[in-house]
Amino acid sequence: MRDINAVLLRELRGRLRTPRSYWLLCGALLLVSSISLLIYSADYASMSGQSTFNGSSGHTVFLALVITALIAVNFIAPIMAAGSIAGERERQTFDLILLTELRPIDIIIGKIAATCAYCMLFVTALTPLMAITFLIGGVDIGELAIMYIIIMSTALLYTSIGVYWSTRTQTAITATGYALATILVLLLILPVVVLVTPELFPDLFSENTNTWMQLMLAIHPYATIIFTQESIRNATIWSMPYNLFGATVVGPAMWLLSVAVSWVWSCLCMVLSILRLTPPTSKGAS
Amino acid sequence: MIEFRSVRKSYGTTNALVELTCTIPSGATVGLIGPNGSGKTTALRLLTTLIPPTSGDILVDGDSVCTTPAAVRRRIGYMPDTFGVYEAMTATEYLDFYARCGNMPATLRATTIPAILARVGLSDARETAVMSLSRGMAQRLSLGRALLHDPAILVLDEPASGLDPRARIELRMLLHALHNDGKTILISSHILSDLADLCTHLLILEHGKTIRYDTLANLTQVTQHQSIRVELTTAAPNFVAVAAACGYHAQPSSDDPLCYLVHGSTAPVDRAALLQALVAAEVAVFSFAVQESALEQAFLQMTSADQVMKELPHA
Repeated sequence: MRDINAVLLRELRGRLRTPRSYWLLCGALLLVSSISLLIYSADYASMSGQSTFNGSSGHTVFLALVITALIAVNFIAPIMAAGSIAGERERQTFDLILLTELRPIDIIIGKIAATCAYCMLFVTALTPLMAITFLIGGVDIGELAIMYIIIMSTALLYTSIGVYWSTRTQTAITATGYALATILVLLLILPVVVLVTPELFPDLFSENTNTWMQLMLAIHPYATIIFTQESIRNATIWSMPYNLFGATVVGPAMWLLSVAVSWVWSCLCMVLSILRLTPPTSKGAS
Repeated sequence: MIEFRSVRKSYGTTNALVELTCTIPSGATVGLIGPNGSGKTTALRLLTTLIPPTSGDILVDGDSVCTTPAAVRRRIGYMPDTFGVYEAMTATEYLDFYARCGNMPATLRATTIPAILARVGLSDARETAVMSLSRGMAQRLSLGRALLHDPAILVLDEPASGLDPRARIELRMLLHALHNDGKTILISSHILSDLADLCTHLLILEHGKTIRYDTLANLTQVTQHQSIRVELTTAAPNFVAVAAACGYHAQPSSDDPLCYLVHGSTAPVDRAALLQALVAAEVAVFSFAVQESALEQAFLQMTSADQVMKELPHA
C-alpha cells in the first residue's frame, strides 16, 4: 500500500502537536459560538409577541454560523498556507526536501492538503453548533451540505493562493501579507468593480447586469452564499436561469459555478507553485 | 568518481566559481578550504544539484548534474552547514520523515532508522525531541539523515562548525569510519587541523578560483622542509645569524619576541646541526619543533595571508 504523502503527515503532526493549533481552533470556535449566541439572543429579543422560535430564526442562526465560519477560514487558510514553503526556507529545511525523491507536485499537494485538512477540522468542529439550527428548524441537510462545500472550496482556493505566495517569498510574514492582500482584493475590490462596471458601460450590461454580476462574483464566497439562498428559496438547487444577450439559458446554480471557479483558480495556483519549485534548467553541459 | 569539468557559476556579474576542473576518485575524502566567499559552498551546492552551473558540468559516476540531476541526487547524501529543525519531532520521526520522502518502504524504514541512529551514536536519544538535542547530537542526526539512503558520496558543508571539542572528536571519528567504509566524502571546513586528520585530498579555493587541488601528502610535503618553530628562554640577538650560517632563514614571530620561525630543511640531520649550532652559540633554546600543522602553512602560502588571518580563528 502506498504511504501517505510524507509532507502532509509531517505538517499535520507538526501543527497539531503544538499548543498554537489548539488555541487557534479554540479561539475560532469561541468566536463562531459567541456570534451565533448574539444572533440567537437578538432574534429572541425581537420576537416580542412569540413565545418560541420558528424556522426563520433557525435559518438566521445557521447563516450567521456559515458566514462566521467563512470569515474564520478566510484568515486561517491563507495564514497557515503562507508559512508552508517560506517557513521551510526560514527553518533552512527547504533544500533538504528538494534533495529527496519528492516531486514538486508531492510537496505542493502535501502542503495544500495539510492546510485544507486543518480547515476541515475547524468546519467539522462546528457541527454541534450547526445541529442546534436543525433543532430549531428552517435548515435542511442539502443546504448544510452546499454551505460546507462552499466553505471548503473557499478554503482550497485561499490555501492555494497562500501556498503560491509562499513559493515566491523568502519569509512567511511576507507571504502572509501578499496572500491576505490578494484575498482582500477578491473580497472587497472585486464587488466594487462588479457594481461600478455596469454603471460605466450601461449599453453593454443593460439586459445582462444581473447575470454578469453573478458570473463575476462566482469567485466571491459571500456573494455565492447570498445568491444560493435565493436559489434554495426558489427550490432550484442545481440550476438557475441566466440572461445572456437577450436569451434566457438554464445553467448551473451559482454555488456550482463558484465551486468550479474556485477549483480552476486553485489548480492554476497549484501549477504556478509547482513551477516555482521545479529546479531551473541548467545552462551548463553545453 | 566525481568530475568537475570547467564548472563556472555566476550571479549576474559576480563569479562565485571560476573554471573548476578536478577529478575526485571514489573513496577519497576531499577537503575544501578557502576564505569565506571563496566558492566552497557554491561548489558543494552545484554538486548536490541545488543550483545549476552557468557553464561546464559535473559528472558523478557518469551521471551529469545538468542532464540527470535525479540520478546524481540518489548517489549523494548532503549535510548543510545549518541544521534545520521541525517543531515537535523526535529524532526517530525526523529520520522517518526523510525516509518517507525518499520513498523508503515501511519495512525497510523499521530496520534502517534504528541502524542509522546506532551508527551515529544516537540510539539513546531516539525519542528525544529534535529541538532539544545538543549541537553535536543535532549534527550527528543530520549526518544520519544524509546516510539514510546509503549514498556513495557524502557532501558535508562545515560539519564541525560550532561544535565543542568533544563533539568535534566524535564527528571526526564517525567520518573516519565512513571513509573506511569506502564512502567518498567532500567536506568544507575552516578547521584545518580536522581536515588534516580526515582528508586524502585538498581543494584550495580563493575568490572562486582553484588555487590548488592535490593529495594531502603532496600539499604538505611542499611545506614540510620549511618551517621550524624555535622558542627561547632569553633573547638572543645572534639567532638570525647563527641560523643563516646553517642555511636557514629565521624570522621573529609576530606574537612572541622569544619565538622564531625558521625556514629551511627539516631533515633530521640538518635540524640536528642547527640545534647544535644554536646551543654552541649559547642561545637558550626552550623548544625546537617542526610546525605542527603543515597544512596551515601550505594554506597560508597558497592564499592571501591577510585574508586568511581574518578567516581562520582556529588556525
